[in-house]
Amino acid sequence: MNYNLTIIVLALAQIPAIAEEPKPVRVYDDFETWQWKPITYAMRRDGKKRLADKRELGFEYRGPLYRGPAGFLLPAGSMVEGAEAFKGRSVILTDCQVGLHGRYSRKIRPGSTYRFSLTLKGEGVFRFRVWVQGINLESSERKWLGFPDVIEIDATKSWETHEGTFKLPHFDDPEFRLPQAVSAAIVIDAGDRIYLDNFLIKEDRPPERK
Amino acid sequence: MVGPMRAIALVIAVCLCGSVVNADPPFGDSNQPYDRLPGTLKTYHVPWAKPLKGGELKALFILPYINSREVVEAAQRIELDYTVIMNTGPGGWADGFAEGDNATPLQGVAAEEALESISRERLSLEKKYDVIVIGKISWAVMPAWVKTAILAHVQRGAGLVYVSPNRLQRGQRPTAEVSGEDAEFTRLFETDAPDELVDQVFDALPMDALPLDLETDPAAARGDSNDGSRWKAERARVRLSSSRHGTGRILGLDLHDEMVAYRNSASLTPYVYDPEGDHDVVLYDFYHLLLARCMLWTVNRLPPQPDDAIDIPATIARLDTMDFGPAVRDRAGNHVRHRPLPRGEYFVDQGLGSRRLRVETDQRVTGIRLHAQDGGHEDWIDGEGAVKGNFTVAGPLADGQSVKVEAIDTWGRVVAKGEVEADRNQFTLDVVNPLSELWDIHVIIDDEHGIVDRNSTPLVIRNTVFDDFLFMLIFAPTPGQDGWKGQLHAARMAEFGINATYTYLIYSRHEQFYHNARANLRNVVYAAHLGEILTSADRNPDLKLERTDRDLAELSRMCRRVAETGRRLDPADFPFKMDYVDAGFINARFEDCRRAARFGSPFYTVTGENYLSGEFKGLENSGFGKETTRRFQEWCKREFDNDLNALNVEWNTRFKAWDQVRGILIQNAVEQDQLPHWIAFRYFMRSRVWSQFFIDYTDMMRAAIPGAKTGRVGHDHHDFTRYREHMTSSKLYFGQGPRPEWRDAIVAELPQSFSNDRGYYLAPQSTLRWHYDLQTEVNRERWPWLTLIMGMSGFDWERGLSAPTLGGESSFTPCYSEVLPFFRDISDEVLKIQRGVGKLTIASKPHRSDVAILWSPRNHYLSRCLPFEENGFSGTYLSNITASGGGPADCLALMNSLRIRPTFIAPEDLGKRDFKALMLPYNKAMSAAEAEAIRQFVRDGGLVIADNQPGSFTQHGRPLGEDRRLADLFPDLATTTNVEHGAGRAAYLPNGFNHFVENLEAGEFAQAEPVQKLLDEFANQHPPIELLDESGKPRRDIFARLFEPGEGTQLYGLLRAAIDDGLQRQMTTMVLPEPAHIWDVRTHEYLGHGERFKLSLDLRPRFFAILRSNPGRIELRVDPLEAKPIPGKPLKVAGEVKGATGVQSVHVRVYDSAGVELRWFRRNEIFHSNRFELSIPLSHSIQPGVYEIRAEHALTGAKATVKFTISK
Repeated sequence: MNYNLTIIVLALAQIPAIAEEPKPVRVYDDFETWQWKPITYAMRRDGKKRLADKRELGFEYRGPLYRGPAGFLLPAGSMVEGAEAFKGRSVILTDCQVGLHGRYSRKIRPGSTYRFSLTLKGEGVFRFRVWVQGINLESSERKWLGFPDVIEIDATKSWETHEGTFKLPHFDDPEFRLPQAVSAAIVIDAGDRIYLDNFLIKEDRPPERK
Repeated sequence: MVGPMRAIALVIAVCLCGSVVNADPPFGDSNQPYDRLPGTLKTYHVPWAKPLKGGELKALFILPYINSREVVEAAQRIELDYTVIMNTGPGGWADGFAEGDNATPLQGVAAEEALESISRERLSLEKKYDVIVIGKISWAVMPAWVKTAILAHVQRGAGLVYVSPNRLQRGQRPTAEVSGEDAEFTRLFETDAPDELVDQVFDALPMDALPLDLETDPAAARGDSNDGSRWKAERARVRLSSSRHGTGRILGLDLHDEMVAYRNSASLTPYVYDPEGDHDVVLYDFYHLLLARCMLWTVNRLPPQPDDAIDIPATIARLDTMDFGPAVRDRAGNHVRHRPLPRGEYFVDQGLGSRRLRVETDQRVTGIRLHAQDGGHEDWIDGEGAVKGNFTVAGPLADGQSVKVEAIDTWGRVVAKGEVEADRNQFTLDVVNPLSELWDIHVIIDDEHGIVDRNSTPLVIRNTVFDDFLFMLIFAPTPGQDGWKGQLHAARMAEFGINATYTYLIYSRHEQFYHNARANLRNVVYAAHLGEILTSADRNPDLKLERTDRDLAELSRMCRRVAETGRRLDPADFPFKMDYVDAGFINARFEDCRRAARFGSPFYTVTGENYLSGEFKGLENSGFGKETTRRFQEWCKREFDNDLNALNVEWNTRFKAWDQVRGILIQNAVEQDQLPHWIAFRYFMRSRVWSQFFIDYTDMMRAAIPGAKTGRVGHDHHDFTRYREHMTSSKLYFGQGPRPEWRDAIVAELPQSFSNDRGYYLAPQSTLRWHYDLQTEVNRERWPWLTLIMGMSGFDWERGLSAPTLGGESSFTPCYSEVLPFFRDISDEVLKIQRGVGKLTIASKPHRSDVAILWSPRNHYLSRCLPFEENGFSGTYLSNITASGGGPADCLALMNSLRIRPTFIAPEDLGKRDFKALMLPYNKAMSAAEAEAIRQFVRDGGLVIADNQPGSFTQHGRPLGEDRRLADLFPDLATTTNVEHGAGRAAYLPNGFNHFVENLEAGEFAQAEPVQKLLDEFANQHPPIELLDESGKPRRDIFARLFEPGEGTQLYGLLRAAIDDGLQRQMTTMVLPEPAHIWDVRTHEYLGHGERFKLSLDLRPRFFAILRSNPGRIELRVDPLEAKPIPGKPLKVAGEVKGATGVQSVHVRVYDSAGVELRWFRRNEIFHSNRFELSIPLSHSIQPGVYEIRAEHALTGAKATVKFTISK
C-alpha cells in the first residue's frame, strides 16, 4: 500500500513538470545537504527482507529515521565526509538503485542528448540506467522496452572526474510509443562500493525544440 | 470515512489509473444504477396534466444523474413519454467524482464512452421530441456536438426549456462563470420574455404562496446570479427568457441558482433555502407545475385557465366557508372536506393552476409552552411521565368554544389526550409507552361547527435505549437536508432496515434531531472532530519546528473545569486559544451538548481522522506548549521517582533541574542519541495528553448529557488502556477488505477488552467503492453477520446520490424505484438480524477465556525505533496510527483461530485480574515493576507465552542487553524454551505468534498448535465449543464467537476464513461441552439434540442457538379481561413458548385488516423462560377493524398470531 502511495507522491511531483512547457533537464547532486526522514512502511518491509538475505541496507538509519541527501524521496546511499569525501560531503553507494522515483524520474527525453559530469572513486561500476517503458495508446497497455545503461564507468581507487554525453537508444516498437520522458536511476551492484560526488546531467536540446 | 485517507485514495485513483479506468460495476450491470429510471415509485403529487389534453409530450431531459428522479417527479404531474440523458453535475459532463479505481461511479474512458454513446443515440435526429429540458447544466461544459444536436432538434420544431441557463466553469462545485461572451448563449437564453408570456406562465400559480419573486429588472436579471450567500436565500428570483431557433421555441426559466445547483438535489426546480431544512411537498409540487407550464408553452400547448374557474378571495372568514364549494388542500397537502374550514392556509386547484385561500378567525391559539413535571425540562421529557403545558389564545373563549389538547406521534397517531384547565390556560398530559421520540402537542379550539384553530409544539421524549441492531445512514441524504432527496432517501432506506442516521451536532444542526425523529430514525451524534489538525495549514506544518502553539493539555484543563463546575468558562480566566478552539468554542460546544441532551445517542463521536500534529507523517512536532510541558515534568517526576539523575542516565540528557525537562523532536533525538527521551515523551503525549484530553472532554459532555458514551471515528492512535470508562465506543475502521475478522480483529478487541464489553461499536460500510464486501453474494451475506459476531451493534451505510457522479454511489436506481441486488442482499441479512437475534446478541455477555494479552502501548514508540525488526508492534503503512498488522494483532488472530477469546490487559492490570495465561506478543519495553508482576504471575501458577524478546528494553526504550528483564523466565531468545517457575510456566516461542495472519491467509495454521498445547497443558484453556475437521483435528480457519444472553441459552456465530472458495473441506463436527438443542438461527432449522453435530460449512455465515430446552410452538392470547380493546389504552397480550427455558426472544408485528403492517408496533421482546407479555399501546385514533398480532420466535422461527377487534 505504501509502495503505491510512494509512486503516487512521485507521480504527483511530476505533474507540473509534465504540464509545463518542457525545460532543459538539469540535475546536479553535490550531496552536501542531508536530512533525517521517516522510514516508510515499504522501506521497513524491503529493509527487513534485505537484512534477512544478508544484504546491506545501503543507507544510515537511527531509530525511525534514515539519513538521505536533500532532493531524493527515497534512500540514496550513506553520507561520507572529511577525508573520505571528495569535497565537503559525498555519498557512498552500495547494492542499490537510486533516484528512480523522484530525483531522476521522467528526466530522460527520447531524442535529447545529455552531457554528464561526475566524480567517482571506489570499487566496482557506476551505472546510470534508464527504465524505458512504452505505452499502447489504444489499449493503454504498458510494456518495458529496455533498460539501457547510458553511463557506465569503472571506479578507481582515488577520486576521478568523468565527463561525457549520452542519448537514449532508439526503441522501435510500432505498438508501443515512448512517453515524453522516461526515468532513470543510479545502479550499483551488490559487492561494489562507489563513492560519488558532483553528479551533473544537462540536456542539450535538440534543434527542433530550440 | 473522510479526511486524509479519502484524499490519498483519490490521489491514487488519479495518478495510477490515468485516463483509462473501467467502471465497477460496469455500465449495464444490474448493480450499476446509471441510466436506469424505471420511475415506478410514486410520491406526493397533484396530477396537474395527467391525462394531458392532446396527448403525452415526448420529452428529452438532460440533467445530472443524481437528480434524475426529478424527471419522474415531473412525469407524475404531466403526461410524458420521457427519455433521459444523465450527466455528472452542473459543472461536468462525463467528468465527475469517483473515489479510487474501484469507485462505483463510471469514470474515465468508461464514463465518456457510456455518456457519448447514450447521448449520440438519444440526440440523433432520428428521434423526435416535442420538448427538450436541460436541468441547470452549464452550457459551457456541454460538448459542442451535444449543443449542436440539441439545437438541431429545436431548429426543426422541438421546444427547449433550459432551467437556470448558465455558463459556469467546469468543476464539481462550480460557482463562477467562464469569462468572455458567448454570442450563441446570449441569443438563445438571454432575451427577456415578453410580459404577456410571463403573465401566461405565472398568473395561474399561487405566487403569493411561493417563495419566488419575479425579476423585473432586466439588467439585474441578466447573467448575474447571486453571490456566495445565494445558498442562504429563502426566496428565489425568477426570470423568463424566450427566443426562437428555427421553428422551435426556447424558454429560459432562470432561477438564478446555478451557483448553488449542486445543493438540495434541485435540477428542475428552484433552490430555496429553508433554515429548518424542511422539505415542503406542496411547494415542491407547485415548482413542478411551473416547469410543466414552461414545457407546454414551448410546444404551444399551454392552455388558458378554464372558463369556469372561479375567483378565489385572498382571505375569507371561517364561518363564511360553511358552504365553500371548491375542493381544497391544506398546507400539508391533505384534502379537507369538513366545512367550515378551520383557520389556516389552503389551496384551491383549478386546471393547470391554483390559488391560495387564507381562512381567518378572531380566535386562535397563539402559543404553547411545555415542561416536564419531573426534572423540569422545557419541551422534553426523560422517558415517560407527566407533562404540564400552558397555552395562550387570542382572546377569551366565546360561548360554545372549548379547548382540547392531544398528542400526535411521528406515526400520525393520536396517542394521548390532555386534561385541560381552560380557565387557567393549562393542561397536563401523560406520556406513557411512547413509540416515537417526538410527540406534537396540539392545542385545539373548537366550537359547535368543529375546529376553529389549532397550533402545536413538539415534545421530545428522550430515549437512550439502543439495544437493537443499528443500520445507520452516513454522509448521505437525510431528512432536513438535500430537499426532496433527504426525505425520500430516508423513507426508502427505512424499508431496508435503516433505522438511524449520523446527526451533525458538530455543526449545531439541532433541527436535524427533530427531522430524524419525525422520520423515525435514531440519532447517532457526530459531536466534534477534535485534535491538533484544525486548519488546512495544519496538514502540512514545518515538521522540523517545535509547535508551541499546540497545547492540548491546556484545553484539557479547560474542559475539566467545565466538567467540574457545570458552568461556562470565563475567557478572562482561560485566555488560551488554539486556532478557533478557545473558551468561547468550548462554551458553545457545552451549550450545544445541553440542547442535544434531550435526544438519545448510542455514543458521541468526538474525534475522527484527527491527530497530534505531525503524527500521521511520523514526525510529531507538538507537545511543547506551556501546560503540556508542565504536565510532562510532573509525569517525569513520578516516572523517575523524583530522581533527575536517573532520568538523565535513561535518556542521555543533561537536565540540571526539573523545570528544564521538556519534550523532544525525533530529529533532535536522533541527532543527540536520545531515543528513550523521545519514546517516553511520545508515549506521554498519546496517553497523558491526547487520550486525557478526550477523557476530560467526555466528562465535560457528561455534565450536559449524563452518562454519555463517547468515542471516535478513526484510527487507533489512542491509549486504550486509559479508556475504561471514557471513549469506550466507536465507529471502528474495520472491513471493506478481505478477512477483517483476522486482519483487524484487534481494532474491535482493544476497546472491547478495556471497556469490559460496555462500549458501543459500529462498523463502516460504503457505496463509494465496489469493494470486497459488496462484490459477491456470499460476501454480502457475510458482512452484516460479521459485524454482529465481532460484537458490534450494527454498521453504517455511506452515500446515496450525493456527489456529482456518473452512476454508482446508490442503493437504488436513481429514481429510488428499484433496489439494486447488492443492497437487497445486504439488507435481507440486516432484516433477519433485526428480527430478534440481533437484540438478543447485543444483550449478551460475550464469552471470554481466562487468557490475557498484555498490551503495553509504550511499545508502539519503541517499535518505530526498530524499523527492521522481525515484526512490529503494529504494521501496514498506517503503522503509526493503527493497531493492526503487528505482533499483538497476530497473537490475537492466533487465539481466535484456537477459538479461545482472550482479553487485552494493561501492565497496571497485572496482578489485579484473575487470568490463567498471559500472552506477551510484543513487550520489548518493560519496566522492572511490570517484569516483577509477570514473574509473580508465573510464580503463582500462571502460564506466560511470549514472542519478540520481552523485556529487552526499559519502559523508555533503552536497550538492556545482557541485563534484560525476565531472563530467568526466558533464558534463550533464539530458541523455544519452556521454563518452570514457581507453580507456573513460562514459554518462549520465537516467531510463535509473528505473521500468523499472513500465514493463515496462505492456509498455514501450524503456529496455532504449540500454543494450544501449552494452554491445554498448563492453563487448562480450551475453546468453549470445538470444531473438528474431517480427520478429527480442530479447525483453525473458523472465526467463532460465543454469546451468553443468560442461563440456558447461548448464541454461536461462525465465519469460515475466506481464504479459498469454501467448496472443499466443508465437513465439520461441532462438539459441545454438554448435550443441547441446536437451531440454525439464519434458516430456523432444528439440527437436533446432542453433543456432536455434523455441519457442512461453506463461506456463508452461520449463527446457532444452543439451548438447554427446545422451544416449541408459540401461543398468543389477548388478555380475556380486555376482550374489547379500547383505543387509547394498552392492549395486553400474553404469549407462551412451549417447553422453553432460558432467555428467549420474539419478534412482533401488528397488521391491519388489509394486511398492512402498522410499523410502529414492530418490536423485539426479550424474556426469560417460557412466558412473555406484550403491551400494545393502542392510540386514540386507531380505526375500527380487525387487527392481527404476529409473533415469531427469533431463534426457531416458530410463529403465532392472534387477532383483536376495534369496534366502531
